[in-house]
Amino acid sequence: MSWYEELTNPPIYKTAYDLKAPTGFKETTGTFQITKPKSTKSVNNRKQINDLKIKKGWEVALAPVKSLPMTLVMNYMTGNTLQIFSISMTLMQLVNPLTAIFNFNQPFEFLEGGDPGELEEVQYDVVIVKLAFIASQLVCLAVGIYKLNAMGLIPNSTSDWLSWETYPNFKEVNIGIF
Amino acid sequence: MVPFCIFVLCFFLQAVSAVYSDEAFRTDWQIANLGDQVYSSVLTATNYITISNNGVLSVLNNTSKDGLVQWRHQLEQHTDGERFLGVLNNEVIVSGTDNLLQLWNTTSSFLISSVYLDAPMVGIQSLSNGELMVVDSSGVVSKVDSLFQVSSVAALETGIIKSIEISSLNNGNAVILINSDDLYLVDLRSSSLSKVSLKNDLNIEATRILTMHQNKVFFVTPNDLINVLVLSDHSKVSKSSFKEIKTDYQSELFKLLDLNSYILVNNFDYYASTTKDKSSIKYAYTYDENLVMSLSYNNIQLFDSELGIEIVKYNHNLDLDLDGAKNIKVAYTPSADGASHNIHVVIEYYNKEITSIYNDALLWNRDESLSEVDEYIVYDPSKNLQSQQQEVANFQHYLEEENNVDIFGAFMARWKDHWQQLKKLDQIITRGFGNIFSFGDGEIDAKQKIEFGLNKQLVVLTKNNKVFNLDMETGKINWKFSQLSKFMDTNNRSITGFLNDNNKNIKIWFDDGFVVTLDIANGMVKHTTVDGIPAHKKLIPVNLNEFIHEEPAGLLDDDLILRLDGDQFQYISNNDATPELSQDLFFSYINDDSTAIEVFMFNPSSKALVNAWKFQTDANEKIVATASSARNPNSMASIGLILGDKSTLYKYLYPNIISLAVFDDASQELSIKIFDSVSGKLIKSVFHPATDKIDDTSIQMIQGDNYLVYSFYSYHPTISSKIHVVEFYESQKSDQKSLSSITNQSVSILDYDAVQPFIRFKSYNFAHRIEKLALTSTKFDISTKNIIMKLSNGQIYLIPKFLISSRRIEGRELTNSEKMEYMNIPYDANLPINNNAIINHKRLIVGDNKAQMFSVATNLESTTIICYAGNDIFCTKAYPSSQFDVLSAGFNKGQLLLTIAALVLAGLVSWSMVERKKLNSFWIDNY
Repeated sequence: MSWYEELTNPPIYKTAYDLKAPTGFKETTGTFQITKPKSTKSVNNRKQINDLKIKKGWEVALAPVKSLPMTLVMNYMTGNTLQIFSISMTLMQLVNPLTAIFNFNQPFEFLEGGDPGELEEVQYDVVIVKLAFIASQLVCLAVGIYKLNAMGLIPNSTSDWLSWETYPNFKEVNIGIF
Repeated sequence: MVPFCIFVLCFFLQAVSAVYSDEAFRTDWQIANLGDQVYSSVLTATNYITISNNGVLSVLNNTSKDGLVQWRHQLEQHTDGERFLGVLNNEVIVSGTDNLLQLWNTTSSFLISSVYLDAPMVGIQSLSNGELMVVDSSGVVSKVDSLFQVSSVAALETGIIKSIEISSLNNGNAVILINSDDLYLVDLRSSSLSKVSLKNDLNIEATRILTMHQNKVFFVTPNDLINVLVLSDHSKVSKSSFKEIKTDYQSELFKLLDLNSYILVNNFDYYASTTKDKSSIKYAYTYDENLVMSLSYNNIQLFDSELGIEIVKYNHNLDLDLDGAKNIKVAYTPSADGASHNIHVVIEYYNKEITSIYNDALLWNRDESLSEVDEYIVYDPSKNLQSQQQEVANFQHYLEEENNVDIFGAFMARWKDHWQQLKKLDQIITRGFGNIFSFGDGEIDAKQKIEFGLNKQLVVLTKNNKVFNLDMETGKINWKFSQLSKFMDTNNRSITGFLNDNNKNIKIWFDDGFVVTLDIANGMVKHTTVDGIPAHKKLIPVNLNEFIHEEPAGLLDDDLILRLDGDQFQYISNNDATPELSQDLFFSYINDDSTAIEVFMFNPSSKALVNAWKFQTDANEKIVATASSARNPNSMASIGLILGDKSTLYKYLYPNIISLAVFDDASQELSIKIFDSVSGKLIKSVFHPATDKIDDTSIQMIQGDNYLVYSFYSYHPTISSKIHVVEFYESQKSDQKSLSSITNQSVSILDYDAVQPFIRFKSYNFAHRIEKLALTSTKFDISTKNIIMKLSNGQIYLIPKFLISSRRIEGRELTNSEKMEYMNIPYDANLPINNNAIINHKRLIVGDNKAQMFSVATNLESTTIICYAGNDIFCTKAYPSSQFDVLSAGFNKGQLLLTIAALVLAGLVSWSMVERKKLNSFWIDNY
């Protein structure tokens, strides 16, 4: 049970003994409901909230890019040698953006709450925010791939495939000098 | 789920067995020889000291039974002068060559002092008072006293000294006979001389002086009798101080008895009458004027020479072959009270055996034949050629499979392979289990020896025609065959070939077609002739199968190319069918006077050798060294160098390259010529001018897969060895291919005539004189190649090839990319000596550039066995890229077992704890 459910719909505890409730305690039967006040929001007010939500969305979308300088510094500091620390760090740099891209809706769930149709006016902004989020994750991924390449772990050069190359056998054989 | 896990694990699991490096490789031994021929020797009561033709001064402890060399020193090898040996006070050895006189401590081997005389010495004699006398070519007589001081005593009035005999008298003086006529007596205390002429003063006609001993001169008269001149006065010579004893002994009789030492002719009748058998006495020796020693086949006798009474008789019963003795040395040491008579005898035979006898017992027996090895064969008795070829074929099949199939196919192939191994797990466990829990002396069993390729034998043919079979692990002589001379003496034959016949026999070919076949297991003669060989021709057999690695090639074991008289060649086979060869066989022949190389091609259909091309040197030029590529058939080594930016610099791996070193005797210029042996095309020529002052006897060459390394000793610009490397690449730039881009698997180089390698060249200085070069050989050529150098100071040095590289950066800083390249280092013209890379450690390895040096691969890729067969035979193990596939000696088996046990215990405990916790969680309500 999340803290939000606990707060909004607290469980009912019944005491084992027949005790009276303390003064001022309002005993209720059934679930405790916070009655929502009737919608009195004006159009302006909704716009403000939407703007806030989009602003928050941009923050979420650009957060990975903002952490890039730190990542770059870390990458520089760890060097290109193959060590357990640098390898695990590089793997995280590859795995994290990929999982984030596959679950790109999750960080933006807060946008979905609220009245139906509330986001209609800013639906394009929402899409852009999400695309921006994917783009910034791709930038992070690119940094990870760059690091992987710098570590020499991407088989993109002739030397990576040298073991599979063969040398021709010549028909002529020199059997020695006598 | 479980079967799936096993399926996946099978891919990763591979059954291996491992041994400790100490267990696997004990190969580290040396047979230290006294030298090629004993030039001079001295026997004292405790030591047998020799100096050899090639300048090895050796000291043996003659009191112990092992007969091992106590210490040796390699003196100056190349000298035209005589070598001299003497003993000072029984403690110091004096060796002399030309002007240099050196004094050595007998026990500790330290050089006490070196003295340069004004003129080359001509004679050395130990005196009875313990001092030593030296005579030089200008006639100056010097003495070396007990304080090692050299002082001149007198000067002989003589011209050119053609011959000299020196004899020591009992009073410390010496008699010197110059040019078989002038007899001097040198009084060393008063530094005075007296002289008589045998011919003019004493009227003695001597056709030959046989020897001098103490106060006696033995000479041959014109009527071929032996007479003795006896000096009665020991302080000076005059006409009256001599007495001539005339005998009736013929000089032939003397020759029979004389073994380059002393015989007391005038007392001969005494001991002959005592033993009653003149012929049985083969040697006689006088200790002083009163004692005579005789040596016969089975006993040693000591007589009183005046009375003819036998003092002592030792029956050694060794049935000595005294007819074959070249030299006999005797040391007589009576006890202080005269009660016991100890006699040391050392017999040096013509067949290079040396026997030491002490009284009635054989002390030791050595065979110095091993000091001159002509040919060698290394074989693995557990394998024959077919099984070796099968093993190679299996590996090739395995490689091809890995290269050609898709990923899934490769997975399945590997899985099958590992599954087959796992099925034999019970065998591995039963064999390996004992090993896990054994903490014993680390002996590995015969089966493991075979598995790790350690079961090797070395068979050598020596210059004096003996065959030895040595165990390569211990250096022990398994068998010896010394009867080859029997086949040669009567027919005047000489040996031309020494071939391994399928690891079963050794075939020794003689120049007239006669073949002796020895059983490789025990050295017994199996056959002594072969059919179908043309008689009365000079033959040099070349077994083709030994050179064809790619496939059996349709040749039989007996198929040979023979060199007939002159430069004619013939193919000979016991098989009438035409061999079906998939390859054209070329072989290069250097003519007898080393002035031309001629290359022949074998035509299977006509079974003839066709002349392909010829290179004739100019007048005064000679081919002094050659090298050719030997491509390892198992080679898995990379076909290119990986550079720092991960690009590839492709090696030019064409295998038929041959290199010649051509030296011009007149102009003293050296040129290195590198040819394609098939087309005869000159690939590269390197010229070294006369200003380099090259020693042409020092030129050595070796060829690796894409490089040639050659060295020589020169006196300009620095007095040092120069090592040069020529490397062949497919292109100057990386990622550019030429021959390696050919996808067709069997091609003719003649179709790619225009393809030229890109050649890089570098030179290095090396402080020591290099006598021999060789390359390390490992099973798959994955380990770094090392160059083995035998140095003239008796060391064998291993240097990685990457240090002698043509790509070391010169004159600038390395770029970041270059720093990333494996072992790319800045150029330094001087190659360092790394003391850890001297593989003979503290041993002195004696030999010269005629020695054989080779590396034999074992089944462990990291490990190679390096052998040297020169004056000494030496084998050791080496790890060119360290021991990556062998457990180090520090590996703690006990700790590993304890850790495994602790982990299993921890696993069991935590498993039960987890089970309990799981159960509890069902019963206890958290709310």
